[in-house]
Amino acid sequence: MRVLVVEDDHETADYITSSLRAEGHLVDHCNNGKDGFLNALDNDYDVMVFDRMLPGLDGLTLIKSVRGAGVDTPIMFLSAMDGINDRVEGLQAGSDDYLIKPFSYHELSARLTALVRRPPLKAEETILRVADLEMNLIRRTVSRDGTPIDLQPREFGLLEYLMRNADRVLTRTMLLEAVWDFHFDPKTSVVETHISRLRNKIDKPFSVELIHTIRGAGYSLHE
Amino acid sequence: MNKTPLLNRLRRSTSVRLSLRFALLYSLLTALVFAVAYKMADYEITHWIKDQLIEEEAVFVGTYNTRGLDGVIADLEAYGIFNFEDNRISLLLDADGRRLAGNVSRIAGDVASGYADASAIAFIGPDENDSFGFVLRNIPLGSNTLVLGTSTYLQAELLEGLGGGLLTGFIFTLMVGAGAGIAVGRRTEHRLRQVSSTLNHVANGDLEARVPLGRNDADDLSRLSAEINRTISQLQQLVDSQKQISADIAHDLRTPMQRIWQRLEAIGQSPELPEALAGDVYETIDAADDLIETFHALLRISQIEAGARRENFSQIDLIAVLNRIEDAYGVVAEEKNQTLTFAVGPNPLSVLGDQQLLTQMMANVIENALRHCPPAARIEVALFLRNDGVVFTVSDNGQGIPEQERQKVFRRFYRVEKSRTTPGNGLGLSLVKAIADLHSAVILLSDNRPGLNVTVTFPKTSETVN
Repeated sequence: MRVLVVEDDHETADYITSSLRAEGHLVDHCNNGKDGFLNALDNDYDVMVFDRMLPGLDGLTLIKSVRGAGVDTPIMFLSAMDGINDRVEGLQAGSDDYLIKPFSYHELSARLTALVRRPPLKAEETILRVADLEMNLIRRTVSRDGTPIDLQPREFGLLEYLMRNADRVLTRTMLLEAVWDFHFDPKTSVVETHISRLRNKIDKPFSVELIHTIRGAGYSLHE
Repeated sequence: MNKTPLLNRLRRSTSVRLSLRFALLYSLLTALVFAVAYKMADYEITHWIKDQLIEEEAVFVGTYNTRGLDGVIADLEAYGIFNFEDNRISLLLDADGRRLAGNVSRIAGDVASGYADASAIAFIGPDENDSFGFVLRNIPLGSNTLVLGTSTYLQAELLEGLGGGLLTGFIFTLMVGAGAGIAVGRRTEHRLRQVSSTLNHVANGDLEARVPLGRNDADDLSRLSAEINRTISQLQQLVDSQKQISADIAHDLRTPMQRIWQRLEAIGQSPELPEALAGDVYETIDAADDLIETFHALLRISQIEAGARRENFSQIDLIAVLNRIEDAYGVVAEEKNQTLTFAVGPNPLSVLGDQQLLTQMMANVIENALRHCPPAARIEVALFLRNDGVVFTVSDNGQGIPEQERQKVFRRFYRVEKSRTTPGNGLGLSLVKAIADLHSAVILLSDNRPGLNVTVTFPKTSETVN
């Protein structure tokens, strides 16, 4: 995908752009708000990453200007400020997600992917499939290789989120936010425990593992 | 506070009480001064009457010596002509006590005492006297006795007038004094209330609050108010600069932290990384994570304490919040072989607040119990409505917290000795306290015999129960 990164700290910018390029994405980089604005208008990006504090034009003004110019490309906002009001401001100005520094590349990458390919939420979609795993959203049933699997409601919710985002890396924070609406980092292993339980039901009785742990990043559901 | 009846409020007010006390004191002093004035007037008039009688005695003795008894009788008759409303009496008696002249026929009682009641006097002819009594003087004229008397009527009239005047004056002083006392007291009370309400606002985080200053700023209350305002301004500057420092730290330390993290991640992903070092690198990343987490928690507490998040308040259904928490932590407790039970009140229980923070607070308290209790511990969570508000409790049968440590655990970085070995930064309960304070909730730690009981009471609002 094509990504525009507007970030003035060259080390962070290098880190983001080289990591994204290493994954095969096309990346443009600007180190100030004015160039960022011109680039955002001229080119057809899939997603854009803006730092909050930028020389020339600050991130908030940049987002407003870009949105004001009619560009509706998803924007990820990076900031050292984690106040709720800073976040609200960022989202209200027109960003689609907000990542607080310091962040891990995995978190950024996982969220960017989620932004670009939002899960299809078609009303007629009633059955999710990943390999031989099948989820019926109407009947609220799950089966693998034809064998019915009995899931608790929250296990169902967790699996649904994993299946809708199959092949993507989902970080612990993304799972906490999406499944439990927790916007803090629990001291106990909430995500790990739930994933482990889910694995016991989804993976253990079968030969092929579907839930994969991505070290230092999170989890991914794929064959 | 404004709803207490005025009288009660006035009675409780120090300034009103003081003013009334002074008003009473001044009135008593005035009454004393008036009483002395009255007594002195009485004394002076009595003396004046007696002196007049003494002078008249000299005149009659003179007449007796030069013109004899007939001269005295003639003078007495002339004396009678000028007697207005029988205010003067005279009675001349011979040696046997028979009346020789005078305007009264008889004076009963002891004449020598120098005073006679009006009832003891028998006037000759119609009695026009209104007096209560007469001041008398016995004047021996040879073997005869002349009794002269002056009515106390004028004295009584004078004193009555004076007394009435003084009493009116006293009542007036009392009323003006009490009225002025209440007015001054109420004014002072009003200004003290302004001061206390301002300080209340400041205590609740509104550092914009100031004590209103009157036009006349010379009195001590105005000086005190100005002093208080100056203190609040300094406090505000201090808090502002602290906030600025927090923001600066946030920005200035995060970038280097970001770099440390980036480099560690890059090292961790490098294909050339020897297998033996990979574990160390990920442990270092975890340590950096802990550092960042502590840092986040500190900033979050400062931010919550600054009250900035109050702007996002809405009605939050705590039952729904607790359901999500139960869902998340139920399996965690099972894994640890602990029993986690939830008892939730029958109504939708809602409070005015910030959903994310309330979730974090309730989760933190439950997590604390899960982390600090041994396996097989029983942890009971309850949410219910009580008279004083919505109550959230978490009770366990673990080790508990010694009484002398229960307040200290809310301090930043404070950790109970025996929990030092468990991971954590000592900020969890500080955050819980900050969130409780933000929601005007009262948090109480008590002994569960054995174990700890945490009670958070949210103030009741009209929308608590839908």
